[in-house]
Amino acid sequence: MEDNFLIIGFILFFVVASLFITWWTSRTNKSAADFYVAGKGVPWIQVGIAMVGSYLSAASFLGCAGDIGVFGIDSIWISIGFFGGYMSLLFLIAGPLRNVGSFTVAGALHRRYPDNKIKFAITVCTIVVSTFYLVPQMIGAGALFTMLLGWDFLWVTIGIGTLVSTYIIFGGMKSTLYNQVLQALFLWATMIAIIILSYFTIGDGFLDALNTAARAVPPLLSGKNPAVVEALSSMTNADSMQAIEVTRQLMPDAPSVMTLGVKTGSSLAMISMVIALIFGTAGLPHILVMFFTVPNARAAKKSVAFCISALALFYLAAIILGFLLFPAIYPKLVSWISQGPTGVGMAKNMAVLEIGMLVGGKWLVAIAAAGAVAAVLSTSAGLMITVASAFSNDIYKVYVNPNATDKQGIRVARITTIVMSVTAVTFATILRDENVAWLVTLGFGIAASAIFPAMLGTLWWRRATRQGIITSVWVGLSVSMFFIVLLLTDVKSFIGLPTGGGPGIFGVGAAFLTLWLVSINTKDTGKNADEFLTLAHAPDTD
Amino acid sequence: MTKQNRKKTKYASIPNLRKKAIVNFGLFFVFFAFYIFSATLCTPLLRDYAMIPVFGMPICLLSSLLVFPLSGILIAIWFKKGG
Repeated sequence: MEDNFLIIGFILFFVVASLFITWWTSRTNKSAADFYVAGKGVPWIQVGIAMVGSYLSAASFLGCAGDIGVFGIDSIWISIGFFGGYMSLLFLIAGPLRNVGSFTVAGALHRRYPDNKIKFAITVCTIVVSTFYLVPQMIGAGALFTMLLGWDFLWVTIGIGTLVSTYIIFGGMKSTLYNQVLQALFLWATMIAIIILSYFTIGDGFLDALNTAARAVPPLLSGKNPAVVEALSSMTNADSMQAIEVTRQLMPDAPSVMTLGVKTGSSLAMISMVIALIFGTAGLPHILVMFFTVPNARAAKKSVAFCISALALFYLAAIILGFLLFPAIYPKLVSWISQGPTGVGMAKNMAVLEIGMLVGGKWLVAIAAAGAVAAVLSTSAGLMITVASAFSNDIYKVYVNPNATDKQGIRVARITTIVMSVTAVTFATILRDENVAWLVTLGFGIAASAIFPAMLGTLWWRRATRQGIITSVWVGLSVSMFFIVLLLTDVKSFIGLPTGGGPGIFGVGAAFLTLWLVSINTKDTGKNADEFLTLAHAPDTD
Repeated sequence: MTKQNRKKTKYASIPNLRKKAIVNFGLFFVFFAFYIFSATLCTPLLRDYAMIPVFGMPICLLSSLLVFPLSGILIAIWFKKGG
């Protein structure tokens, strides 16, 4: 009970701090630019930190290490893939997008091709991608509170939805950014604290943990073996090394944690996933809109570079922590997995908290739990304001009320935030048993297929035509959604292509091919392609 | 901006675009090639090679972890080249 008070105390600290930030920032919001892009004058370092907060979801904080704890070495590429995506964003998108963008991603493309169909297509993609990303945040928060405190899933998601909506409705982008900074600093510091304490407390370092892992049977397999579950039932985390040896004796021929192919036997599926992650990040609308909050392209690049450095340390820590789980909490991992599919979810989401308890006691668990909530809040806020802004600027002001004032636009953005919140809570309740990290990965697959090729073509290719861009967006969206439907309906392959890795390679391939084929057969390269590209790639100024 | 100045900027930017494209896509290609190589090494397809030990760990893990420092090096080069 005392532990619960600590956890609730830390979470309450976040709620109060967030509301204070919202109140404080709301006083300075005077224009539409303030509401949508925080006045376009936010320092790059602040945006860099906020970007870390927006990107690091609960899936990253709890899921990356937890997934290694369940499947073993197969899961390291979730962390590396999440990280690698920022390289495409930095090299190919950040600077030019900042130079040509205003409030939304669609607005940047529309500047070169003044066709409302482009705004419509990109806005639809923005809503679909953001929903795929937002729903898992709600599921993660609901599952975490249910497991940790026994709270009701529905009420937790309603609470999170209400809190995040409050940030946006009253404080807009400025409030979102400040909250993301606070939450990112807390989340990042928590991860670093856990890894440092774990590293110096458990075993003899990383290589020793790898040697242990080479003996350990993946918990996903050992947790389903009744003899192992029985043998380990009386063991505690302190007996982890003994538990690993006992399991190996009972399952001498089983693969080890270091064996490739435990999670997926299909190499193409795995490549598809890493393709989705590297190109998907550069197509995530809630990350792209953050470039419009800095003063210039140079600042946008610096903010991404800063974000990459912080993410590198974070994801490296997550990988090391994943391998340290075996010498630290092996019996617990097996015990969770033995409970069936729900237990697998618990192992993935609770392993980081369990190791936190082992090396730092109840204080660290409370901080880590609050860190997970911080991750959910900051990511959800970024997603919701992106959709609100896209709907208001690219649908309402284009199709519903072209003469709308800024005030009316902001009102629509606020209403959209509430609608988005209700939608996310509804879907989270329906999909509560789905794998959180997996749903997020699917969001990356759609972003990589539908948005990234169009962005790249618009920002770099003079021959890219309006028709090519529009067609590639719809083809990318259709192919990726088609693969996701196959995947969710348990269809393992389609015309020989595995669906297991998500839509990545297929959607991206189809969209690029479409962009090229249609562009070389059409002529409308935009209002003034040279002028647009000149502006996009103008020399940097500080 | 006057018409003449706009014309100057336009033509001045074309070589800038080409140079930027070479630097940006070139560095991204280096990263992407290593990223895909390391990811492929971590698939069941190359299981036999992946487990060759280097510095106390399987080469697939080492190669995957090297993605982090490689990105740092490429970013440093990129900023030096005017990014």
